[in-house]
Amino acid sequence: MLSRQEFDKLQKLARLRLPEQEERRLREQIERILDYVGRLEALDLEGIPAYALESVEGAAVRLDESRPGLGAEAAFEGAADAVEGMVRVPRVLRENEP
Amino acid sequence: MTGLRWQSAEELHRAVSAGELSCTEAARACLDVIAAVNPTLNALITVTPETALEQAGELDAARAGGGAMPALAGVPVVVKDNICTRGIPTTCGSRILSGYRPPYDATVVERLRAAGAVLVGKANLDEFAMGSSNENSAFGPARNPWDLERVPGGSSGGSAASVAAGMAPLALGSDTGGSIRQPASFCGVVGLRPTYGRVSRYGLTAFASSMDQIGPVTRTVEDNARLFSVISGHDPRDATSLTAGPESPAFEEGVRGLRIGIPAEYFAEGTDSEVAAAVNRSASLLEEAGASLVEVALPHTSYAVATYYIVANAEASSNLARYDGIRYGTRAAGRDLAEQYERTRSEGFGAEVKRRILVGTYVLSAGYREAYYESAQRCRTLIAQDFQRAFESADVLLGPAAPAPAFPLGSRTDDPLAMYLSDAYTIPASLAGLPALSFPCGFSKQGLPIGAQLTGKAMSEAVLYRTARVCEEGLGLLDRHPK
Repeated sequence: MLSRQEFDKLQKLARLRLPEQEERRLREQIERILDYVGRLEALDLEGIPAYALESVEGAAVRLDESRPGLGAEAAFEGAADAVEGMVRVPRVLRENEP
Repeated sequence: MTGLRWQSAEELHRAVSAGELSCTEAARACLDVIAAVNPTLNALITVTPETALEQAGELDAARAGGGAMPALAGVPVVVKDNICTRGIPTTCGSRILSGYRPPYDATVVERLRAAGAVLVGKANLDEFAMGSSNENSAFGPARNPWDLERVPGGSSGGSAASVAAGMAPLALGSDTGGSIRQPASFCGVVGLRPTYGRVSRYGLTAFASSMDQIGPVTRTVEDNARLFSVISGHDPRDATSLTAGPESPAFEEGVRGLRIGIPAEYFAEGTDSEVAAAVNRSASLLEEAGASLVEVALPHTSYAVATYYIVANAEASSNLARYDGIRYGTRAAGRDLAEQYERTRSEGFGAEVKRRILVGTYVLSAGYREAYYESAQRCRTLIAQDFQRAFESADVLLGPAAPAPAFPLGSRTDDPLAMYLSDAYTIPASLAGLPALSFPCGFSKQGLPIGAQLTGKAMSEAVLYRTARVCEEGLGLLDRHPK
C-alpha cells in the first residue's frame, strides 16, 4: 500500500529520516494503522458537516491588547546555541546565492 | 510516613489548618515515601525536594504569622511532566526535551502554588502523552503498584501510579483520548477529564489541541473535586478557556431521581466479564440509592478509535513541528538547516511519536486529506450527536473505563493497534469534548483494580462527582492499598 517512494516523501514532509531497519518496521505498522482507520469508508457521510467545537456558553475572546512577553533572553534560555538574545543556526543561504 | 501516607488531601489540610501538622512535616513524610518507592515504580522522572521544602517552609512561616491556610495548604502534589514548571525540568518523557527547564509556570501550576499545594515531583508519561501504557517514555516505563509486572496505563501512568502508591494524595494528568481515565482505572484511583475548555492549557505541551485537557488524579472523589475547583476557571492566556467559574458538588444531594444511561456498545464483545460485572455492581448501587437505569445507544462507538487516530495524529504532526532543535530542546548537528532539523527529530523522538507524526502527515497530505481527515471530522460529528441523543433520556452515562484491567509490561509494544484499542471506551467523550470520570469500582480475581467511567453533558462535572461518590461510599474500597 505504501510504496518506498511514498514513504520517502512522507519522511521528507515530516522532517524525519529513519534508519533502514526502523523504516521497514514503521512502514509495516503504519500500513496496518492506515488500513484500520480506513474503516470510516464504510460510513455514509454525505451531508454530515465536519465537527466544530460546539459554542459552549462562556467561551470568550480576550481583548486585543499588547502585554509584556517573556523577553528574548528568558525565551532562549533553553536554546542549544543562543548568543546575545539570538539563536545561532547553520548557514541557510549558500555563498554566491542571491 | 506510615501515619500520613494514605491520608487524603482533605485530612492533611484539616491537620495543617488545625496546627496539628506542619507543611514541612507533611512534605518530608511524602518525600520519604517517594525515596522508598519511586526507584521501583519509576513513577516520577524528577523529584523536587528542595522546592518542596522551601515552599512548605514558607507556608509554615505564613501560618506562624497568622496567615489563613488556602484550600490545599501543605498538601503534596505531583504534576505530569508535560506541564510546564518554571526552572524545573519538563521533559514530556522525550529525549528531545531532556534537561529542558521552562521559563514560565503553566496556569494550573500557578493555581496550585496559590492554593498552597506543595510540588514534590514531575510524573512519568508516555512520550508527549502518546501512549496507553507509559512504556513509550524515554526515561523507562512506570510500573503498576498493584502488580509490578504490569503497566500503570498511559499516558498519565506516573500520575496514577504515584497517587495509588501513596507517594502523594494529588496529581495532575492530561487526557487527550483517555490518558487520565485509563491509567486511573488501571491503578485504582479517581481521574477526571474535564469539559473541553474548563481547565486552562496554558503551559501544557500541545499534542492534539482539539482534545487535550488537564485534569485531577486522586484517591478519593472528594479530593478530586477539591483539586478540580482549584485548577478550573477562565484563563485569558488560553483561547479555548471557558468563563465558567469553579463549583463545589453538592454531595449531600446524592443521585435520587438521576437517570443513569447504560450504553450497550460499552459492554461489547472483548470487554472482560469481570470488568462488566464490577461496573454492573456500581449500576445496582446507584439504583438502590434512588437513580433509575435506562438503556441508551451510542451507535458510532466502533468508529471512534479510527476517528481519533486520524484527528489526533493530524494535529500532533502539526503541533510537534515545533521541535526542531532551534529554540529549545536538544539539537543534533547538520550541514545545513534542513539536515539539522531531520537529525534532531530523528534522534530526539521515540518510535511511537514518529509513527504518529508520519500517520498524521499522511492523512493531511494532498490526495488523502479528504478520504481520511475530512471523513474523520464528519464521523466526529456523528459521535457527538450520539451523545446528544443519549442525553435526551439520561443525565449521566455509566460504563467501563477500559475493556480489561492492566495488561503485562511488554505485551502490546509490538502491536500499536492493540494498544490503541485499550482506549476504545475513553476516546468517544474526548472526541465530543465531554467531561468523563473514572473511579475504582472493584478488583479482578488477580487483585487488579477495575475502573468505571461516568460521562456527562458539558459542564456537568458536579453531577459526575455526586454519582461517583455514591458508588465510592457503597463499595467501600478506600482502605485497600497496594502492598
